[in-house]
Amino acid sequence: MTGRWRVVARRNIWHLLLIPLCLVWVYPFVWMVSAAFKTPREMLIGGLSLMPNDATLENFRRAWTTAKFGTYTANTITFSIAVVILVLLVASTAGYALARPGLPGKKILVGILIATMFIPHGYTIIPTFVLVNGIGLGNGLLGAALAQAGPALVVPVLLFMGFFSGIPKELEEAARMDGAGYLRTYWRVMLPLAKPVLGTVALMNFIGAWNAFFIPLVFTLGNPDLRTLGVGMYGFYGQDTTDWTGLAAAACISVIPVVVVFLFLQRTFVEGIAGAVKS
Amino acid sequence: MKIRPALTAFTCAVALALSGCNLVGGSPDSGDATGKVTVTVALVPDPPGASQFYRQQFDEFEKANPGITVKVLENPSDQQLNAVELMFQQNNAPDVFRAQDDGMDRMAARGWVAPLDEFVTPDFLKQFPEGSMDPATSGLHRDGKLMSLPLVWGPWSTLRVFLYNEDLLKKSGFDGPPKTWTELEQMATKVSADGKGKYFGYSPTAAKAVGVEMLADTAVPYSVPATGIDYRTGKPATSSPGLVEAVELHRRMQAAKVMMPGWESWDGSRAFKEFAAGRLAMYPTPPWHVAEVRKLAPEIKMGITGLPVPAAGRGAYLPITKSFSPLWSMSAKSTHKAESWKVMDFLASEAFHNAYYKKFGTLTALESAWKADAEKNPDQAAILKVAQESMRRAPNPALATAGGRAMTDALAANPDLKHTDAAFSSIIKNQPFAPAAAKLDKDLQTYLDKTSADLTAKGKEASAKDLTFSGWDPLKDYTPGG
Repeated sequence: MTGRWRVVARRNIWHLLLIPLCLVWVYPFVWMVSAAFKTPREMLIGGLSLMPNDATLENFRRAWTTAKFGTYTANTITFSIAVVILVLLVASTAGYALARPGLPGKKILVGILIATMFIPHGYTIIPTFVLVNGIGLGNGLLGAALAQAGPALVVPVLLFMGFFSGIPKELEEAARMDGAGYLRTYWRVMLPLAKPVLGTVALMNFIGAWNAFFIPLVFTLGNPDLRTLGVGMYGFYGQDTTDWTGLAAAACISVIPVVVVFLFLQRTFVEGIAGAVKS
Repeated sequence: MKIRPALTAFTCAVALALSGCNLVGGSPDSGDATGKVTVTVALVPDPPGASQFYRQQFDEFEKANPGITVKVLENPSDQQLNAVELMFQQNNAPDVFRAQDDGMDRMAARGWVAPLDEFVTPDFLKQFPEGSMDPATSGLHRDGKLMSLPLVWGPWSTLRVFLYNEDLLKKSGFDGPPKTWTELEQMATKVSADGKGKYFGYSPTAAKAVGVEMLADTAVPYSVPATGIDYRTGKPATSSPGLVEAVELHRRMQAAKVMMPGWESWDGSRAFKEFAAGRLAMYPTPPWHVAEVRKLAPEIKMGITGLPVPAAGRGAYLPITKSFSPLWSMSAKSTHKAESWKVMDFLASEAFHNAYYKKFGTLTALESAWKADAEKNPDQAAILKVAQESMRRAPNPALATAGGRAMTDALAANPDLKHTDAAFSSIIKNQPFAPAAAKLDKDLQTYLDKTSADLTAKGKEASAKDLTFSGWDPLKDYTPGG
């Protein structure tokens, strides 16, 4: 066997070993998609087959109209975009400020920020709820978005801080020489350079907000019309029984948009992470 | 990759516009420009499909009551109480809400439940089966006041039936279901052996010792498996021979690999799926499994009968501890009580109950709404027959005295003193249950004494006496105060 054939054979053996592993890995997801097209009878007692015998769209209809997934999708888009905007706004300005070399107490601030990462949401939910309610945002998605965005800020702040620290000081000085103030330098010079980090943070937080459960659950308990998709899924669990096929269809409605968004933006995501690590 | 600010801004604007004012929110509405009163009803869209049903029903109600609009708020069943509590705390309480069983007490304890007596008329009460709205036994009254209205048929919550697959039993040469525990063990052993791993003879309904509790209810007073206390004496009785034998029966079958493998991790709905798939021949269950099996496997030859009893004969009947379970309550903070009552009156009407029965097959609190139809339905007729043959009215300390309620609440708050964990451990580890039961009885007695002392110190009169109904015969109907 020549050297080239040996390489091809070795690669194929690896493929042969890895393909079944990949199938096992994606099987639950594919099964969920397949279950969304099955009848309850086929799903519950029909075994593990992936191809529905009697394919139906009834589960999607039920999820979209009866379970109000149309409304929940609009709410989720609103909630996720609000979270992304809040995180980008706060994290980029905070990261920019923290990246400046002479900032007094910088180490303490960064230390506190990092320490807050280890506080579970469950411990802070009551004061957060009281605070958001107190400022009159308890009955809308903006309040929930604020509560979601707050604890999500630490990693983005550090990413922006790392990125801005790596930008040569001369660039800022040149902007100042041209008459730009602090805010204009940030907005016109530094932020456009941070596009890869902006993309990464936006994507990470969009996915996080889209899939969020705990915060939207607590903030929409008293107002079910505000539910997001993650919380809406809960509605398929009855007291004694669960509408599993409806739940599978709802899961498809919830997951597929965010998978599509990720596929479109994965390059930005990789570039952003790589850029932040390099800087 | 380039980020286009204009496109991004446009997408954001469209998305935010999609959900209108949901971003900032608005104040809760209680009326509209036409002068209509809005009654908010917080409910659970259960069973699946109930969302549409409730909306259709309230549309009918609105047509008949043009001055009232019903706004429905739906919550998942295990979040309903939290959601309603939160709404009360935000001064945004629903007018009518669903709070089942202990949930109603939880709400009433905070002063959020309005008594309904001022609205109730003799004609309204006449709809319910005779005697069922007596404050001593209704299950809906607290301190003599009517605090809730029911939805589901009273015996439903404590009735247990025994399901069997006629075809699988026939394959092993059996013509009918087991009548006694001994027959159950013999038949299950034979069926599992014949099934050769494809199907099994028996399984408890779910993990823990739910099956034990169901069978034990035919041997000892219901209070023993439920709380560990024998209400005839007011003393701990986990080591009663009937309960011990129910555990031992399961332990033997588990050790002999007669029971379906994996039952140790089943949730409450797994058994009906296995039964519908033809992998399980027999099991004891709450009655709602019957309709679920039929939905999944309409063609299955399912037999429905009473639970097998000890070989020495029945020692007790399944209990009817209250006529109904609480379900619909009115908010004490409602500013539209008269309109809210109209909604509640509708939810307790024969028309609504009949529609609910027709949609979900549930036997509801108003027997007149479904009895004739149910008797023509073989499954439901069998359930009614089992109920008639195997249930008797039993004492309920929580309804009898305030001390009884305090003591039962205290017992419920300490589930470690129930037999459940010890029995389950005994079955899966193949260890005798009697020593664990004797220890539980000792601990229970200590707990009862301490609870009684603590309550007395707080000025509440409560003791084991409140758990004692010395004249009660668990083989006969109990008459409160009789």
